[in-house]
Amino acid sequence: MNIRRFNQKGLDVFREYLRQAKIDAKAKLPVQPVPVELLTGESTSEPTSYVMPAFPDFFATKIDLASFVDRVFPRSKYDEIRIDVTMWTWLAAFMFDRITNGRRKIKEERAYVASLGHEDFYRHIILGTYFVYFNAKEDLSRVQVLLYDDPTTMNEVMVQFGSYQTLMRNKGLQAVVQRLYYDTEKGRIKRGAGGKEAGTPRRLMDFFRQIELNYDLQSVSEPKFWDMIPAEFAKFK
Amino acid sequence: MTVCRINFLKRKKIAGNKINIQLSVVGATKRFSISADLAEYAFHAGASIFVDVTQSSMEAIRFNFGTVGSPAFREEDISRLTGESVVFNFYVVDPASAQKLGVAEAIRIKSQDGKLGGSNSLLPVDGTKELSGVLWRVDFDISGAEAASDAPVLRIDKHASLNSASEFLNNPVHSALILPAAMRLILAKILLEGDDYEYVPTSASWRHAWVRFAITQTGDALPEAEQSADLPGWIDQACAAFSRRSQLHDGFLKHIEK
Repeated sequence: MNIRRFNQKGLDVFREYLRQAKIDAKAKLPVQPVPVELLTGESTSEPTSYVMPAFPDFFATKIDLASFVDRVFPRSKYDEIRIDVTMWTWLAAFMFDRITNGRRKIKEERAYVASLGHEDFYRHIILGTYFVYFNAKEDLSRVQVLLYDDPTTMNEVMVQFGSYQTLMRNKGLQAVVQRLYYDTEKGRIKRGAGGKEAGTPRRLMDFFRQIELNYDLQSVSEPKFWDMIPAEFAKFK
Repeated sequence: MTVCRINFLKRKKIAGNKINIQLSVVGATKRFSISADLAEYAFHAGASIFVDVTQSSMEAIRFNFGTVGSPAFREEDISRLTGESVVFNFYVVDPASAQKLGVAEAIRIKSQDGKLGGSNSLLPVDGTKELSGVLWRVDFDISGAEAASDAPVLRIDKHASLNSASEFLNNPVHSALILPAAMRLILAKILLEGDDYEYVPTSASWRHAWVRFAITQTGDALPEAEQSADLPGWIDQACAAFSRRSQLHDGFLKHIEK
Protein backbone atom coordinates (compact mmCIF):
# COMPACT_ATOMS: atom_id res chain seq x y z
CA MET A 1 0.00 0.00 0.00
CA ASN A 2 0.98 3.61 -0.37
CA ILE A 3 1.97 5.76 2.55
CA ARG A 4 -0.73 8.33 3.21
CA ARG A 5 -1.05 11.75 4.80
CA PHE A 6 -3.86 12.84 7.08
CA ASN A 7 -6.24 15.63 6.21
CA GLN A 8 -7.60 17.89 8.95
CA LYS A 9 -10.35 15.45 9.84
CA GLY A 10 -7.82 12.63 10.08
CA LEU A 11 -5.61 14.71 12.36
CA ASP A 12 -8.54 15.58 14.59
CA VAL A 13 -9.64 11.95 14.86
CA PHE A 14 -6.08 10.77 15.57
CA ARG A 15 -5.64 13.42 18.26
CA GLU A 16 -8.87 12.24 19.88
CA TYR A 17 -7.66 8.65 19.65
CA LEU A 18 -4.40 9.64 21.41
CA ARG A 19 -6.28 11.47 24.14
CA GLN A 20 -8.41 8.41 24.85
CA ALA A 21 -5.41 6.10 24.63
CA LYS A 22 -3.61 8.12 27.30
CA ILE A 23 -6.66 7.95 29.56
CA ASP A 24 -7.00 4.20 29.07
CA ALA A 25 -3.30 3.59 29.64
CA LYS A 26 -3.35 5.64 32.83
CA ALA A 27 -6.38 3.69 34.05
CA LYS A 28 -4.56 0.44 33.19
CA LEU A 29 -7.28 -0.39 30.67
CA PRO A 30 -6.43 -1.98 27.32
CA VAL A 31 -5.60 0.60 24.69
CA GLN A 32 -7.53 0.00 21.47
CA PRO A 33 -5.63 -0.25 18.19
CA VAL A 34 -5.67 2.72 15.82
CA PRO A 35 -8.88 2.25 13.75
CA VAL A 36 -8.17 0.86 10.29
CA GLU A 37 -10.71 3.23 8.72
CA LEU A 38 -8.78 6.19 10.15
CA LEU A 39 -5.62 4.97 8.43
CA THR A 40 -7.05 4.08 5.05
CA GLY A 41 -10.36 5.94 4.69
CA GLU A 42 -10.56 8.52 1.91
CA SER A 43 -12.35 10.91 4.25
CA THR A 44 -9.40 11.10 6.65
CA SER A 45 -6.28 10.77 4.49
CA GLU A 46 -4.92 10.80 0.97
CA PRO A 47 -2.20 8.61 -0.59
CA THR A 48 1.33 9.82 -1.26
CA SER A 49 3.47 8.38 -4.04
CA TYR A 50 5.65 6.44 -1.57
CA VAL A 51 5.10 2.75 -1.05
CA MET A 52 5.10 1.29 2.43
CA PRO A 53 7.27 -1.84 2.49
CA ALA A 54 6.80 -4.68 4.92
CA PHE A 55 8.28 -3.68 8.23
CA PRO A 56 9.51 -5.63 11.23
CA ASP A 57 7.36 -6.27 14.28
CA PHE A 58 9.87 -4.56 16.47
CA PHE A 59 12.50 -1.80 16.21
CA ALA A 60 15.15 -2.44 18.84
CA THR A 61 16.81 0.97 18.49
CA LYS A 62 16.17 4.39 17.00
CA ILE A 63 18.84 3.58 14.42
CA ASP A 64 16.80 0.54 13.32
CA LEU A 65 13.71 2.71 12.99
CA ALA A 66 15.52 5.51 11.14
CA SER A 67 17.30 3.16 8.75
CA PHE A 68 13.93 1.61 7.90
CA VAL A 69 12.53 5.08 7.15
CA ASP A 70 15.66 5.85 5.14
CA ARG A 71 14.89 2.87 2.90
CA VAL A 72 11.31 4.03 2.37
CA PHE A 73 12.08 7.49 0.99
CA PRO A 74 14.63 8.41 -1.68
CA ARG A 75 17.32 10.58 -0.10
CA SER A 76 16.90 13.07 -2.92
CA LYS A 77 13.41 13.76 -1.58
CA TYR A 78 14.55 14.70 1.92
CA ASP A 79 13.78 18.42 1.56
CA GLU A 80 10.29 17.57 0.38
CA ILE A 81 9.38 14.90 2.89
CA ARG A 82 10.92 16.43 6.02
CA ILE A 83 8.24 19.12 6.11
CA ASP A 84 5.29 16.86 5.28
CA VAL A 85 4.04 16.78 8.86
CA THR A 86 0.69 15.21 8.08
CA MET A 87 2.50 12.29 6.42
CA TRP A 88 4.78 11.82 9.48
CA THR A 89 1.70 11.88 11.69
CA TRP A 90 0.01 9.25 9.54
CA LEU A 91 3.19 7.13 9.70
CA ALA A 92 3.16 7.34 13.49
CA ALA A 93 -0.48 6.26 13.50
CA PHE A 94 0.22 3.41 11.07
CA MET A 95 3.22 2.18 13.07
CA PHE A 96 1.64 2.96 16.41
CA ASP A 97 2.02 -0.52 17.89
CA ARG A 98 5.71 -0.64 16.90
CA ILE A 99 6.57 2.73 18.42
CA THR A 100 4.59 2.30 21.63
CA ASN A 101 5.80 -1.13 22.61
CA GLY A 102 2.48 -2.70 21.69
CA ARG A 103 0.43 0.29 22.94
CA ARG A 104 1.93 -0.11 26.39
CA LYS A 105 4.14 2.99 26.42
CA ILE A 106 2.18 5.99 25.25
CA LYS A 107 3.87 9.35 25.35
CA GLU A 108 2.80 12.95 24.88
CA GLU A 109 0.92 13.96 21.73
CA ARG A 110 3.93 15.54 19.98
CA ALA A 111 5.65 12.14 19.96
CA TYR A 112 3.09 11.10 17.32
CA VAL A 113 1.61 14.30 15.87
CA ALA A 114 4.43 15.93 13.93
CA SER A 115 5.15 19.64 13.94
CA LEU A 116 7.95 21.81 12.58
CA GLY A 117 8.07 23.93 15.74
CA HIS A 118 11.48 24.40 17.34
CA GLU A 119 10.57 22.61 20.54
CA ASP A 120 8.48 19.91 18.95
CA PHE A 121 9.84 18.48 15.72
CA TYR A 122 12.63 16.39 17.26
CA ARG A 123 10.20 14.98 19.84
CA HIS A 124 8.27 13.16 17.13
CA ILE A 125 9.38 9.56 17.42
CA ILE A 126 9.80 8.95 13.70
CA LEU A 127 10.56 12.41 12.26
CA GLY A 128 12.98 13.42 15.04
CA THR A 129 14.86 10.15 14.83
CA TYR A 130 15.05 10.26 11.04
CA PHE A 131 16.19 13.92 11.14
CA VAL A 132 19.22 13.06 13.28
CA TYR A 133 19.97 9.93 11.26
CA PHE A 134 19.74 11.67 7.89
CA ASN A 135 21.97 14.57 8.94
CA ALA A 136 24.65 12.23 10.29
CA LYS A 137 24.21 9.42 7.77
CA GLU A 138 27.80 9.60 6.53
CA ASP A 139 29.14 8.57 9.94
CA LEU A 140 26.47 7.29 12.29
CA SER A 141 29.06 6.33 14.91
CA ARG A 142 29.13 10.02 15.88
CA VAL A 143 25.47 10.07 16.87
CA GLN A 144 25.09 6.68 18.54
CA VAL A 145 24.56 8.50 21.82
CA LEU A 146 21.42 10.05 20.34
CA LEU A 147 20.04 6.96 18.63
CA TYR A 148 21.22 3.90 20.57
CA ASP A 149 18.10 3.33 22.63
CA ASP A 150 14.63 2.08 21.82
CA PRO A 151 12.27 4.41 19.95
CA THR A 152 9.86 4.79 22.84
CA THR A 153 12.41 6.49 25.07
CA MET A 154 13.92 9.98 24.89
CA ASN A 155 17.32 9.95 26.53
CA GLU A 156 18.78 13.08 28.09
CA VAL A 157 21.33 13.66 25.32
CA MET A 158 18.56 13.59 22.72
CA VAL A 159 16.44 15.93 24.85
CA GLN A 160 19.28 18.44 25.10
CA PHE A 161 20.74 18.21 21.61
CA GLY A 162 17.98 16.86 19.37
CA SER A 163 17.06 20.27 18.02
CA TYR A 164 20.51 21.88 18.20
CA GLN A 165 21.30 22.90 14.64
CA THR A 166 24.98 23.50 15.36
CA LEU A 167 25.36 19.86 16.42
CA MET A 168 23.75 18.63 13.22
CA ARG A 169 26.19 20.68 11.12
CA ASN A 170 29.45 20.06 12.97
CA LYS A 171 30.96 16.59 12.98
CA GLY A 172 33.58 17.67 15.50
CA LEU A 173 30.90 18.66 17.94
CA GLN A 174 29.02 15.41 17.32
CA ALA A 175 32.20 13.50 18.09
CA VAL A 176 32.73 15.39 21.34
CA VAL A 177 29.19 14.74 22.59
CA GLN A 178 29.47 11.09 21.57
CA ARG A 179 32.86 10.71 23.29
CA LEU A 180 31.73 12.44 26.46
CA TYR A 181 28.49 10.63 27.07
CA TYR A 182 28.45 7.30 25.22
CA ASP A 183 29.72 4.19 26.95
CA THR A 184 30.97 2.10 24.03
CA GLU A 185 31.44 -1.02 26.17
CA LYS A 186 27.90 -1.02 27.52
CA GLY A 187 26.37 0.41 24.34
CA ARG A 188 24.45 3.07 26.20
CA ILE A 189 24.65 6.54 27.73
CA LYS A 190 27.25 6.80 30.52
CA ARG A 191 26.09 6.43 34.09
CA GLY A 192 25.26 9.82 35.62
CA ALA A 193 24.80 11.58 32.28
CA GLY A 194 21.04 11.77 32.68
CA GLY A 195 20.96 14.28 35.53
CA LYS A 196 21.25 18.02 35.94
CA GLU A 197 24.52 18.16 37.84
CA ALA A 198 27.94 19.39 36.79
CA GLY A 199 29.24 17.78 33.64
CA THR A 200 25.87 16.56 32.36
CA PRO A 201 24.47 17.17 28.84
CA ARG A 202 22.28 19.93 30.21
CA ARG A 203 25.36 21.76 31.48
CA LEU A 204 27.21 21.13 28.22
CA MET A 205 24.34 22.72 26.31
CA ASP A 206 24.58 25.76 28.62
CA PHE A 207 28.33 25.89 27.95
CA PHE A 208 27.83 25.78 24.18
CA ARG A 209 25.21 28.52 24.33
CA GLN A 210 27.65 30.64 26.33
CA ILE A 211 30.71 30.25 24.14
CA GLU A 212 28.63 30.58 21.01
CA LEU A 213 28.48 34.30 21.75
CA ASN A 214 32.17 34.60 21.00
CA TYR A 215 33.04 31.56 18.94
CA ASP A 216 31.70 30.31 15.65
CA LEU A 217 31.15 26.73 16.70
CA GLN A 218 30.94 25.52 13.10
CA SER A 219 34.55 26.61 12.68
CA VAL A 220 35.81 24.81 15.80
CA SER A 221 37.54 21.45 15.29
CA GLU A 222 37.04 18.36 17.45
CA PRO A 223 40.44 18.65 19.26
CA LYS A 224 39.83 22.32 19.98
CA PHE A 225 36.37 21.56 21.36
CA TRP A 226 37.87 18.89 23.57
CA ASP A 227 40.39 21.37 24.96
CA MET A 228 37.80 24.06 25.51
CA ILE A 229 35.49 21.94 27.67
CA PRO A 230 35.68 23.13 31.31
CA ALA A 231 36.92 21.03 34.22
CA GLU A 232 33.41 20.14 35.43
CA PHE A 233 33.13 17.72 32.50
CA ALA A 234 36.27 15.83 33.48
CA LYS A 235 34.35 12.94 35.02
CA PHE A 236 32.91 12.07 31.62
CA LYS A 237 36.12 12.55 29.65
CA MET B 1 18.35 46.01 38.02
CA THR B 2 21.05 46.97 35.59
CA VAL B 3 22.68 44.04 33.85
CA CYS B 4 26.33 44.57 33.04
CA ARG B 5 27.40 42.72 29.88
CA ILE B 6 31.11 42.37 29.35
CA ASN B 7 32.39 41.73 25.88
CA PHE B 8 35.82 40.32 26.73
CA LEU B 9 36.71 39.30 23.22
CA LYS B 10 35.76 42.61 21.64
CA ARG B 11 33.48 41.23 18.95
CA LYS B 12 31.89 44.06 17.04
CA LYS B 13 28.22 44.47 16.38
CA ILE B 14 27.74 45.21 12.71
CA ALA B 15 25.01 47.76 12.10
CA GLY B 16 22.03 46.54 10.11
CA ASN B 17 22.37 49.38 7.61
CA LYS B 18 25.80 48.07 6.62
CA ILE B 19 24.29 44.87 5.28
CA ASN B 20 22.04 44.82 2.26
CA ILE B 21 19.94 41.70 1.70
CA GLN B 22 17.54 41.28 -1.17
CA LEU B 23 15.17 38.33 -0.95
CA SER B 24 13.18 37.33 -3.98
CA VAL B 25 10.33 34.88 -3.59
CA VAL B 26 8.58 33.78 -6.75
CA GLY B 27 6.31 30.80 -6.22
CA ALA B 28 8.38 28.09 -4.61
CA THR B 29 11.67 29.66 -5.69
CA LYS B 30 13.46 31.64 -3.05
CA ARG B 31 16.78 33.37 -3.66
CA PHE B 32 18.75 36.02 -1.85
CA SER B 33 21.62 38.31 -2.65
CA ILE B 34 23.73 40.06 -0.05
CA SER B 35 26.42 42.70 0.17
CA ALA B 36 28.07 44.41 3.12
CA ASP B 37 30.11 47.52 3.78
CA LEU B 38 32.59 46.51 6.48
CA ALA B 39 35.16 49.26 5.97
CA GLU B 40 34.61 51.06 9.27
CA TYR B 41 35.11 47.94 11.40
CA ALA B 42 38.77 47.35 10.46
CA PHE B 43 38.51 43.54 10.40
CA HIS B 44 41.68 41.90 9.14
CA ALA B 45 41.68 40.94 5.49
CA GLY B 46 41.88 37.19 6.14
CA ALA B 47 38.75 37.07 8.31
CA SER B 48 36.05 34.81 6.89
CA ILE B 49 32.53 35.97 6.07
CA PHE B 50 29.72 33.48 6.78
CA VAL B 51 25.99 33.89 6.47
CA ASP B 52 23.65 31.39 8.12
CA VAL B 53 20.11 31.37 6.78
CA THR B 54 17.32 29.64 8.68
CA GLN B 55 13.63 29.43 8.15
CA SER B 56 12.55 26.73 10.51
CA SER B 57 14.11 24.92 13.40
CA MET B 58 14.88 21.92 11.19
CA GLU B 59 17.01 23.51 8.58
CA ALA B 60 19.78 26.06 8.30
CA ILE B 61 22.12 26.71 5.42
CA ARG B 62 25.55 28.28 5.75
CA PHE B 63 27.13 30.25 2.94
CA ASN B 64 30.79 31.21 2.78
CA PHE B 65 31.20 34.59 1.13
CA GLY B 66 34.99 34.68 1.05
CA THR B 67 37.05 36.96 3.24
CA VAL B 68 36.95 40.58 4.28
CA GLY B 69 39.89 41.28 1.98
CA SER B 70 38.36 39.36 -0.90
CA PRO B 71 34.60 39.08 -0.45
CA ALA B 72 32.64 36.85 -2.82
CA PHE B 73 29.08 38.11 -2.45
CA ARG B 74 26.66 36.52 -4.91
CA GLU B 75 23.08 35.40 -5.33
CA GLU B 76 22.16 32.10 -3.66
CA ASP B 77 19.17 29.79 -3.82
CA ILE B 78 17.43 28.99 -0.53
CA SER B 79 14.27 27.42 -1.96
CA ARG B 80 14.73 24.35 0.24
CA LEU B 81 14.06 26.45 3.34
CA THR B 82 10.43 26.49 4.36
CA GLY B 83 8.40 28.48 6.82
CA GLU B 84 7.07 31.94 7.28
CA SER B 85 10.10 34.08 7.95
CA VAL B 86 13.68 33.91 6.75
CA VAL B 87 16.35 34.81 9.31
CA PHE B 88 19.90 35.78 8.35
CA ASN B 89 22.90 35.72 10.69
CA PHE B 90 26.03 37.46 9.38
CA TYR B 91 29.40 36.58 10.89
CA VAL B 92 32.97 37.74 10.43
CA VAL B 93 35.17 34.98 11.90
CA ASP B 94 38.88 34.67 12.57
CA PRO B 95 39.79 31.41 10.79
CA ALA B 96 42.61 30.52 13.17
CA SER B 97 40.82 30.92 16.51
CA ALA B 98 37.17 30.58 15.33
CA GLN B 99 36.43 33.75 17.27
CA LYS B 100 33.59 35.90 16.05
CA LEU B 101 35.06 39.28 15.21
CA GLY B 102 31.83 40.82 14.04
CA VAL B 103 28.18 39.81 14.13
CA ALA B 104 24.84 40.95 12.83
CA GLU B 105 22.26 38.45 14.01
CA ALA B 106 18.58 37.78 13.53
CA ILE B 107 18.22 39.88 10.42
CA ARG B 108 14.66 38.90 9.68
CA ILE B 109 12.77 39.21 6.46
CA LYS B 110 9.14 38.39 6.86
CA SER B 111 7.29 36.25 4.37
CA GLN B 112 3.56 35.89 4.72
CA ASP B 113 0.56 34.99 2.67
CA GLY B 114 -0.88 37.95 0.83
CA LYS B 115 2.48 39.70 0.96
CA LEU B 116 4.83 36.91 0.04
CA GLY B 117 8.41 37.91 0.63
CA GLY B 118 7.38 41.04 2.55
CA SER B 119 8.63 44.37 1.39
CA ASN B 120 11.44 42.76 -0.57
CA SER B 121 9.23 40.41 -2.55
CA LEU B 122 9.21 40.86 -6.29
CA LEU B 123 5.75 39.44 -6.68
CA PRO B 124 3.41 39.62 -3.73
CA VAL B 125 0.46 37.25 -4.03
CA ASP B 126 -3.11 37.71 -2.89
CA GLY B 127 -5.79 35.06 -2.65
CA THR B 128 -8.52 37.05 -0.98
CA LYS B 129 -10.45 38.50 -3.91
CA GLU B 130 -13.03 37.16 -6.33
CA LEU B 131 -11.78 37.52 -9.89
CA SER B 132 -15.13 37.20 -11.69
CA GLY B 133 -14.48 34.02 -13.61
CA VAL B 134 -10.71 34.05 -14.17
CA LEU B 135 -8.36 32.04 -12.01
CA TRP B 136 -5.58 34.59 -11.84
CA ARG B 137 -4.40 37.94 -13.07
CA VAL B 138 -1.64 40.45 -12.43
CA ASP B 139 -2.82 43.81 -11.10
CA PHE B 140 -0.65 46.88 -10.81
CA ASP B 141 -2.21 48.57 -7.84
CA ILE B 142 -0.24 48.03 -4.67
CA SER B 143 2.40 50.11 -2.94
CA GLY B 144 6.07 49.40 -3.51
CA ALA B 145 9.55 50.78 -2.92
CA GLU B 146 10.25 54.43 -3.63
CA ALA B 147 6.64 55.42 -2.90
CA ALA B 148 5.25 53.54 -5.89
CA SER B 149 1.51 52.86 -5.90
CA ASP B 150 1.46 50.79 -9.09
CA ALA B 151 3.56 47.76 -8.10
CA PRO B 152 2.44 44.34 -9.40
CA VAL B 153 0.55 41.77 -7.38
CA LEU B 154 -0.42 38.28 -8.50
CA ARG B 155 -4.04 37.72 -7.58
CA ILE B 156 -5.51 34.22 -7.44
CA ASP B 157 -9.27 33.85 -7.28
CA LYS B 158 -10.23 33.33 -3.66
CA HIS B 159 -12.46 30.35 -4.43
CA ALA B 160 -9.72 28.64 -6.41
CA SER B 161 -7.00 29.38 -3.86
CA LEU B 162 -9.16 28.74 -0.78
CA ASN B 163 -7.89 32.13 0.43
CA SER B 164 -4.24 31.03 0.36
CA ALA B 165 -2.51 32.09 -2.82
CA SER B 166 0.92 30.92 -1.67
CA GLU B 167 -0.47 27.45 -0.94
CA PHE B 168 -2.12 27.44 -4.37
CA LEU B 169 1.22 28.26 -5.99
CA ASN B 170 2.98 25.48 -4.10
CA ASN B 171 1.24 23.13 -6.50
CA PRO B 172 3.80 22.47 -9.30
CA VAL B 173 1.12 22.54 -11.99
CA HIS B 174 -0.22 25.91 -10.89
CA SER B 175 3.22 27.51 -10.50
CA ALA B 176 4.46 26.19 -13.87
CA LEU B 177 1.41 27.49 -15.70
CA ILE B 178 1.10 30.83 -13.97
CA LEU B 179 4.47 32.20 -12.89
CA PRO B 180 6.32 32.44 -16.25
CA ALA B 181 3.20 33.96 -17.80
CA ALA B 182 2.93 36.48 -14.97
CA MET B 183 6.59 37.33 -15.36
CA ARG B 184 6.07 37.93 -19.09
CA LEU B 185 3.14 40.28 -18.40
CA ILE B 186 5.13 42.32 -15.93
CA LEU B 187 8.25 42.59 -18.08
CA ALA B 188 6.13 43.52 -21.09
CA LYS B 189 4.48 46.29 -19.10
CA ILE B 190 7.85 47.65 -18.05
CA LEU B 191 9.71 47.30 -21.32
CA LEU B 192 7.14 47.34 -24.11
CA GLU B 193 4.38 49.65 -22.90
CA GLY B 194 4.44 53.38 -22.27
CA ASP B 195 7.48 55.65 -22.27
CA ASP B 196 11.00 54.52 -23.06
CA TYR B 197 12.40 52.66 -20.10
CA GLU B 198 15.92 53.31 -18.82
CA TYR B 199 17.35 50.68 -16.48
CA VAL B 200 18.93 51.92 -13.23
CA PRO B 201 20.81 48.97 -11.67
CA THR B 202 21.01 50.48 -8.18
CA SER B 203 17.37 51.51 -7.90
CA ALA B 204 15.05 49.66 -5.52
CA SER B 205 11.89 50.49 -7.47
CA TRP B 206 9.78 47.55 -8.58
CA ARG B 207 10.45 48.14 -12.29
CA HIS B 208 14.22 48.07 -11.90
CA ALA B 209 14.04 45.18 -9.43
CA TRP B 210 12.13 43.13 -12.01
CA VAL B 211 14.57 43.91 -14.78
CA ARG B 212 17.47 43.10 -12.45
CA PHE B 213 15.80 39.77 -11.67
CA ALA B 214 15.30 39.04 -15.38
CA ILE B 215 18.96 39.80 -16.10
CA THR B 216 20.07 37.34 -13.41
CA GLN B 217 17.83 34.69 -14.96
CA THR B 218 18.94 35.01 -18.55
CA GLY B 219 22.50 36.09 -17.89
CA ASP B 220 22.26 38.53 -20.80
CA ALA B 221 22.22 42.29 -20.42
CA LEU B 222 19.09 44.25 -21.30
CA PRO B 223 19.20 45.24 -25.01
CA GLU B 224 20.20 48.87 -25.59
CA ALA B 225 17.50 51.43 -26.43
CA GLU B 226 18.36 51.36 -30.13
CA GLN B 227 17.85 47.59 -30.13
CA SER B 228 14.28 47.76 -28.80
CA ALA B 229 13.16 45.28 -31.46
CA ASP B 230 15.13 42.68 -29.51
CA LEU B 231 13.14 43.25 -26.34
CA PRO B 232 10.30 40.74 -26.95
CA GLY B 233 12.86 38.01 -27.61
CA TRP B 234 14.84 38.99 -24.53
CA ILE B 235 11.68 38.77 -22.40
CA ASP B 236 10.98 35.29 -23.84
CA GLN B 237 14.50 34.18 -22.95
CA ALA B 238 14.25 35.56 -19.42
CA CYS B 239 10.92 33.82 -18.77
CA ALA B 240 12.21 30.54 -20.19
CA ALA B 241 15.40 30.80 -18.12
CA PHE B 242 13.34 31.49 -15.01
CA SER B 243 11.16 28.47 -15.69
CA ARG B 244 14.22 26.26 -16.19
CA ARG B 245 16.19 27.57 -13.20
CA SER B 246 13.17 27.27 -10.95
CA GLN B 247 12.51 23.76 -12.30
CA LEU B 248 8.92 24.70 -13.06
CA HIS B 249 8.86 22.73 -16.31
CA ASP B 250 10.42 19.64 -14.75
CA GLY B 251 8.25 19.98 -11.66
CA PHE B 252 5.15 20.06 -13.85
CA LEU B 253 6.19 16.93 -15.74
CA LYS B 254 7.06 15.02 -12.60
CA HIS B 255 3.77 15.99 -11.03
CA ILE B 256 1.62 14.82 -13.91
CA GLU B 257 3.60 11.58 -14.16
CA LYS B 258 2.56 10.64 -10.62
